[in-house]
Amino acid sequence: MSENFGTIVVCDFEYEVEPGDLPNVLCMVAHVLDENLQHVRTIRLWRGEFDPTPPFDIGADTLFVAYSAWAEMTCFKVLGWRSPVHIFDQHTAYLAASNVLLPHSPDEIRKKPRKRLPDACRAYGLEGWERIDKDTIVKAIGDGSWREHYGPEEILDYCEEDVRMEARLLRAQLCGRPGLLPADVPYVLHWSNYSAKCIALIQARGMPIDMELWNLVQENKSAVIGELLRRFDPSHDDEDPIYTPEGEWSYQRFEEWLVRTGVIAWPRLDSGRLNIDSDAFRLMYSVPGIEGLHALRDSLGFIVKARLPIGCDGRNRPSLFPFGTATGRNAHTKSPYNAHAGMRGFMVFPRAAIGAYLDWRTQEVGVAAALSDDRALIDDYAGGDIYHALARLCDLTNDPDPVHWKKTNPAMRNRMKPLQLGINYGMGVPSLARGLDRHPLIASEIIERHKRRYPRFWQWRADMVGTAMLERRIESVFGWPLRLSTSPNQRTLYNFPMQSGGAEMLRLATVRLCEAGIIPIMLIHDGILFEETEREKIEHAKEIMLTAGRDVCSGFEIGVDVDQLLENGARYCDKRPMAQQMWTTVMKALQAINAVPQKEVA
Amino acid sequence: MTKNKPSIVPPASADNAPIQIAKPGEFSLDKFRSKRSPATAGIETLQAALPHHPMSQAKDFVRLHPDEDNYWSPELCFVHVPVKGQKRETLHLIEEELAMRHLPSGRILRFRLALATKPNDVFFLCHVPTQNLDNVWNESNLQACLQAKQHWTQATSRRDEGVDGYKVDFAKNQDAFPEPNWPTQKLDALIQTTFAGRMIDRDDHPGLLRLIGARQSTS
Repeated sequence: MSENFGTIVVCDFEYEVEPGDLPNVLCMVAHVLDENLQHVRTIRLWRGEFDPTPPFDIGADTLFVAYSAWAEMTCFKVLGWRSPVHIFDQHTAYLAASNVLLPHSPDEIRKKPRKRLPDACRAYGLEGWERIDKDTIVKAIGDGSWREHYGPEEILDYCEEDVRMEARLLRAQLCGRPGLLPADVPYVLHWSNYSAKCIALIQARGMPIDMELWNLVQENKSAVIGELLRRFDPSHDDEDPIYTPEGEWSYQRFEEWLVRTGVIAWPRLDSGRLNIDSDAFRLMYSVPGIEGLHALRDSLGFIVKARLPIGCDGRNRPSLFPFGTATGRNAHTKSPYNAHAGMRGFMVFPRAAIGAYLDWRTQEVGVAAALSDDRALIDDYAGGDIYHALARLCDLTNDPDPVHWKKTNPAMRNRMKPLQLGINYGMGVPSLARGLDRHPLIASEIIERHKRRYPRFWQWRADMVGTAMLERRIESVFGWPLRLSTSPNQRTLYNFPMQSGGAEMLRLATVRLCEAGIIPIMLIHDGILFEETEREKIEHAKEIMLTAGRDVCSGFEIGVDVDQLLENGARYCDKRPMAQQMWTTVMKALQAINAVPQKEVA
Repeated sequence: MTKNKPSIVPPASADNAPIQIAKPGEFSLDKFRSKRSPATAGIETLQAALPHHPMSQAKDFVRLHPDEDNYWSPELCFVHVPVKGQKRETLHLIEEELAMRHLPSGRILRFRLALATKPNDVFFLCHVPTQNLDNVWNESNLQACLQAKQHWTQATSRRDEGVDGYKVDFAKNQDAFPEPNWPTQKLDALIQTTFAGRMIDRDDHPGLLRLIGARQSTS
């Protein structure tokens, strides 16, 4: 058998799709190329013309090529076709080639560059779609209004133009150009197993949403928002509350509230503006009302905007955006996992199913311990609770028993989480002081103690950044690359090995799970959500996750916890107290207006 | 994305040139494992220009390098050169022979430079007195410098108390601060970097011309 692919199939589908639903395939165009990338034939199929198998070979001698191939694989699944053996996802290849850490410039407002097919083509200097208003036709196809403006031949022509451009893009990606290295085919095929095959399977499943309750909340939105504001906006009784009665956040009124309440040490960006990201809020949980305000902020957006894509089968199918971040993590949006943990209560599993949420224990710290080979960090991680080790380092507890400490000090443990990660990622003295609510001298001393306790970790981190700066490149354990421009943010580099290692772990486990026939229903940072009917599969999934952890960490075991095990139609209930308060408030608001009976409030 | 390029790479302009794509071999995760080892770099941060001042100006506990042979310079000559528009970094290093030839002795400062650090590796070059050691200021300063070879030491001026000399204090707990992690760069290199552009080593050096009131050449 030849060492080269004998056939290359460049393919694109057009389909109608409602938010949260599976695609309704309209047409498909494929250019079949020979082993020299020369055009052999064109296949154009319209709805109703699809056979039970693809009209081209999908075996080991054929390379299937598509841009954002997860969409094509979803169409394959809808049509009942098997996935090709080898997929070259051009989007993944482009993300890898264009993954550049720009110079650190906190004052510059940057818009994340779009990386759709036309954007990739432009980057490679390829012109196309001259006679087509691509945005208009894409929208018309997606929402089904194409019938008013286009005939099938025009849609097929449009689809073929995409395929023609994809074939040109493939050629360009293989050759590279200044600033865009040639695609490394084995790596792209490896990544595409995840970003195309697995993602399509996972997105197609979706998460089960309690539609009756979701609709009740949407119908009684103002009552729910009002109750949440009363309960969680610490400025609710002020003349100028942070939130409007409609649940709209104001940066200015938040800043004024901080001044009124005497909080002068809120973390700021280098530009001088308040830092209002989640990490900044977590750091300030020691200020009364802030934890609740953070929870409110993350919950209101979810309820007010109601952008959850839910299919007609009541399942939320968010886009996972594989490799959507510089570290190779997914960049999923529009799911209960993109809101406060309390909002996960909208998930209820069918009575016959077992819902299980499994996550890697303190994944980033475990990866850091393994990669740095710091014996003390390994020991502290293996001790079962790295946050307990930090609390002891900070002299915040004398309790030698991590289990007892965890049980009796949940608030302190929660405060240790961002600090542990922060110190690893280069958090400075002022931020640590704010996070601990202690004098900067104490924060400085803790950082010094951390250095003395974990010297090999600190040396590894410095060497790793030094090497990256010299080579202008850093990569994950299994080769996901990030190239560096001039003067990148060092903290991003500190963060990269841990985040990219965690991403590798998730990808590796996901591919193996799918190969084992255990298709997750959601991937979340360091956890995986399952919906199965047999407990054995959950146990098998846990084993696969443990093995993936060992593979990424050269044999060091990253623990896997069963965070949720939901049977007999149980509702997802995050264990954290604030999440439970948030959910109870939502339910009480509905109860107060008699939208739900009393017994629903847990 | 640099390894395993396609088997045949045509010129970028060739839109239809044949390209073949090699099939991946049997899957092995180890093929993808990064071969880069961050530990191979063994990178040490090179010290850039260091601050330099007498020990008392550190206003903190200080350690001086214990290796006097290699990290304490011999007595060096310095002059302050007035530069309009610049308040700091007017102290220039000057070759003794040039200084003696051109400048009155009262303008020439003489002291040693020793590699020093405040707690947690905040390095500086410490001025160590070598002249007029019977002067109580210099004597107490030198004592403090010598003590700081072994102990975390702080020198504080007693001028406000109406007393001449420095008060020399030791850290209450000598292990309150970690042992210095001294840079391995040579002292000569550190001094050269610190005084780059401010070393008077020739007759027509602008600093020297300014000090003797000679016309500057801007060419």
